[in-house]
Amino acid sequence: MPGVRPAPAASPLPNRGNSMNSGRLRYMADQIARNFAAGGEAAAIAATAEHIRLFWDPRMKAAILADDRNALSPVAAAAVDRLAGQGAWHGSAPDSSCASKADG
Amino acid sequence: MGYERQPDFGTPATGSPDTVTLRIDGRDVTVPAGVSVMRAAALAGSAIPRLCATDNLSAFGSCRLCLVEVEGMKGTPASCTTPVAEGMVVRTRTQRLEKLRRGVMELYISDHPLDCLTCSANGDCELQDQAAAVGLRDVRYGHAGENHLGLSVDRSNPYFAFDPAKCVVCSRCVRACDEVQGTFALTIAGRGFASTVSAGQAGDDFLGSECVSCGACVQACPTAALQEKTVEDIGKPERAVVTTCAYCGVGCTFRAEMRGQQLVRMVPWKDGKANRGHSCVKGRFAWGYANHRDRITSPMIREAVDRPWREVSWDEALSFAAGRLKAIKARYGARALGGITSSRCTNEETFLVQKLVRAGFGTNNVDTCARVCHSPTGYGLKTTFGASAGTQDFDSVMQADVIIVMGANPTDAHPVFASRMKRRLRQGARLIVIDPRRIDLVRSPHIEAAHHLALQPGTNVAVLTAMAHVVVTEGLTDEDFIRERCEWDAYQDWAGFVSDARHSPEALAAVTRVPAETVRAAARLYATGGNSAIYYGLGVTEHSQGSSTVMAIANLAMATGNIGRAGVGVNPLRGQNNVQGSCDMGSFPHELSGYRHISDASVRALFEQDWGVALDPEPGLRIPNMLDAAIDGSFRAIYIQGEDILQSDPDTAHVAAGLAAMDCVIVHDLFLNETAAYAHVFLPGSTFLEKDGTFTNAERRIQLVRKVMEPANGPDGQGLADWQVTQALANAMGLGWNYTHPCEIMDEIARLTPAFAGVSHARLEEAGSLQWPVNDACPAGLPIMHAEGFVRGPDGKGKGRFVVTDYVPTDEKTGPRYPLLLTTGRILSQYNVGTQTRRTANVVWHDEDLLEIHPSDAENRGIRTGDRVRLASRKGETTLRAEITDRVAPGVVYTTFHHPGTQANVVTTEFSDWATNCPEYKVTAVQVTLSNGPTQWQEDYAGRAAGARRIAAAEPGE
Ligand code: SF4
Ligand code: SF4
Ligand code: SF4
Ligand code: FES
Repeated sequence: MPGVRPAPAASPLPNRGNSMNSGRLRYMADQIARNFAAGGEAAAIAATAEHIRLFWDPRMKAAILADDRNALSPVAAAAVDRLAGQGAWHGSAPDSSCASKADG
Repeated sequence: MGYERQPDFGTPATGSPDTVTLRIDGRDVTVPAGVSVMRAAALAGSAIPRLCATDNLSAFGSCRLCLVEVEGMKGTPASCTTPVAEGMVVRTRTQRLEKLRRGVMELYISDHPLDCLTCSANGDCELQDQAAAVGLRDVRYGHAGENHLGLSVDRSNPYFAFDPAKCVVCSRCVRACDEVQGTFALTIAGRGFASTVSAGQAGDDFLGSECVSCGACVQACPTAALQEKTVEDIGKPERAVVTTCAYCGVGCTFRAEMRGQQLVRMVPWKDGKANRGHSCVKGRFAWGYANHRDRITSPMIREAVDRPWREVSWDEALSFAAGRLKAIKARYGARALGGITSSRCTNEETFLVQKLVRAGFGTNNVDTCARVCHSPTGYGLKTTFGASAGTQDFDSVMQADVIIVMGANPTDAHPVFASRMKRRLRQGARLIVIDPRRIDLVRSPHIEAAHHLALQPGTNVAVLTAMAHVVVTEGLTDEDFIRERCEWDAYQDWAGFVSDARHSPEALAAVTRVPAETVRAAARLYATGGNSAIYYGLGVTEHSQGSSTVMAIANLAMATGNIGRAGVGVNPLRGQNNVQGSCDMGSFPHELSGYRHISDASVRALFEQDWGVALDPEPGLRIPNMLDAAIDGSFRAIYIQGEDILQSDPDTAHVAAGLAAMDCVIVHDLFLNETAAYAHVFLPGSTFLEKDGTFTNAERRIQLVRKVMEPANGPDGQGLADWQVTQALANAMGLGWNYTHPCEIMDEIARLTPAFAGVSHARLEEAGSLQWPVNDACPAGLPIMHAEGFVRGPDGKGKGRFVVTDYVPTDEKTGPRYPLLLTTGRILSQYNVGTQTRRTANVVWHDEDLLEIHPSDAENRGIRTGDRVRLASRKGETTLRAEITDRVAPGVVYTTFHHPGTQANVVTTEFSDWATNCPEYKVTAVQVTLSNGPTQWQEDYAGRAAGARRIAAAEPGE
């Protein structure tokens, strides 16, 4: 019985994006920015940048940093700019040859 | 250890700190004020005969077996209804009393079958004990009169039987159902000798009645009239071990009563501080899944998911898994690996899984199913109060005057706590329900909500902002509290924001659909009604503004000073048994145990030293991000302990695609669950009965789980508890762990986590349970948090913070094609995705998921109750049967998600909470139409699932 693996159903709204590099991350960044908006623009930019720094994994950070700022809302774009300025993410995991160093 | 019933003192404790001294049978005894003479005697070690009294029910005084003589009182008062008084002189054994008691007993026995020797309660029957206690020797009345001896046994309930012939009409069961459970299902029908216990209306049996099978009546029954069927089948238990229920976040403790290696029954433990001797149908009865034939007890592997499974040894499975993990790590880097900890497993097991991922895999890609339920609670309460946890213990509800229940359905999802809450409501506390659906609490026997805010799904923040508007603009805030304990500037920003006319109930009624007057009345009641407490559930968190809603709740509690003492507080009702614990244990990708951020170098250093390995300072992926990354190809291997993400997570097709894209999926579970269809390695799990450890319930209470039988996943004595399996996988990867008992893991947790510094299995054994934090500042734990002040910031001394929560409507919108809003929930008899409860007799109460729809919406569509309907959203569609009810408002439909055949999550969307990515389960725009059969997905599903579950015959050489 081949083919037990179901094909993913096509999304009727493809522009929402289903993966890291596309609309999904933009959507997330904009959504964060929108929820901080009531605090005023400067505070919203700072809070959005901080939120991304604290909760996004490095590949997500790298992807949004490499992405087109114009595709983001102004607050989200400014927040990503700020992150880029801070160099606030570590590109790769530390070399953890855990096997030899783990407790025993 | 032999088997004994828990001691029964006859009538309840009063908890009074004052004492009274009286003389009983010539001995002076000192007891708490207000207790009965019966309890005083029992406390002094001399039991007075009794039949209608038991100490979890208030005294009733009907059987007259407990008569005593009291100096200065006429006649022979019943000791169960006579309170003690200073200097009282009581005699419990005189000739007159003995004679009277024998006479009473004789009457009872004359109406009772004399087949003790063959009765399943033989040796465990209070009637026998009391007959012996009063020295009954013969029965003069014969068995002639009108009685119950001919009535037939009611076996309709799957777990217990009612034999009216053995009933002595003490009405303990009726009172247990009323007082303890609060369901009012039983009555005494008929009079005199002909009277008998009846469930519901005449002609109803237990199953057909309102009975919710909590078991309180069975526990209360002094004879075999109400008895667990397992006692009949297996025999009397020989030993009892106290352990903790593994179903919901109430965390009831039970005596697991055993006969050899066989569990006979689970009896709620009266000393359990979470349940106080009560239980629900799941913990009490639904444990049969542990021996269900579907349970997989052998490790299995397969090269690819379209191949059949091959049963192999532990060694082969573990080295296969470790080999794949290492190869993927070598090729794609550590961040291509990850794991999911389980909120059903113990703290110790959860801690080990995240340790394996962080220290062994070398990445922070670890998450837990709390992601999809209470992650917004963690974020919201940490931001406002400084601690990611509920503020109260359950006992606190008994001092509440006003109770808000928001987005929770406690009578179904947290039944034992709901019974406590209902008891308080019957005493007169006032109730405000904020929920799109008319949950049972809104109107049930002797309970009626003061206000039901039946809001439009997705407008929680708007409703709470409108309530805050009322509190601030009508001057109902507690300014002293705010000035003393909260950041004043942040408060002023917030107060200014909510006072804006845009946020008045009148302005927001357009979106919330709650009449402004109702919002105003509810806000006034909450702010001025005395002690006000908020209890909330997943209807708060599982929204695109879940975190905002939690913070809006916290704002309201701070503004009215309803924090920091008994009877008030903000209380998340946790779904699974160990959601609190799995969050505490560092299951989230951005924080180590005790909610400390991974980027904090000093915290990391602590762990790095202890574990001897460098940790990644960057947060890892959350579950939805893992699936996204899998589709992109940058995430390739996952170890999933005790979770069924394919069924429990939203947007099933997306989850399936993510799993299908991975090179190594390791599922560690009891059953070949839905997720296992995509797995390459299956590691058989162990049940909570088969291991030691701890769970932490919704009130931060850490309780011991004790092994009562050997794990079934290996030959006798060689089965492995889940923590041992994780350790074996770690060792297959070369980590060299050597824990010999979970208590050593707890010692490590305590060493590395300040809030757990004082916790150890030995301490728990001694204290029964502990509510964290347990450390030098609170050596005995902390039942109520923030009594002195809030605990924000690194020093834990920061003031409470008001956070402006702007209502942002969800992007999931209704429109002409999808005009209805779907919201989801759960019901009493089933648990989560039902992997366990579907494999028990609980299916008699719920054998399929139904779609609740309002009569007007149904009529428009020509739908009648029982019709099969198609439920379609922008993401997908499924079919199920409809139930027409006005519990839901027009425009709203509701279903549960307990059955894989329904796959309600095929239709839910990928929208999620802005702060935590907790999925928005509670709002999906849908259309409902008549349908004539299952969808293609459902039809394919059955075939696919069967295919993916094939296990090769045990021949060598596959
Ligand atoms: S099992 Fe519970 S709900 Fe049912 S009759 Fe007994 S006490 Fe009432
Ligand atoms: S069923 Fe049991 S508890 Fe209920 S009245 Fe009869 S003897 Fe008493
Ligand atoms: S209320 Fe929850 S913890 Fe208690 S018995 Fe039921 S399922 Fe178990
Ligand atoms: S025990 Fe006191 S009257 Fe029954």
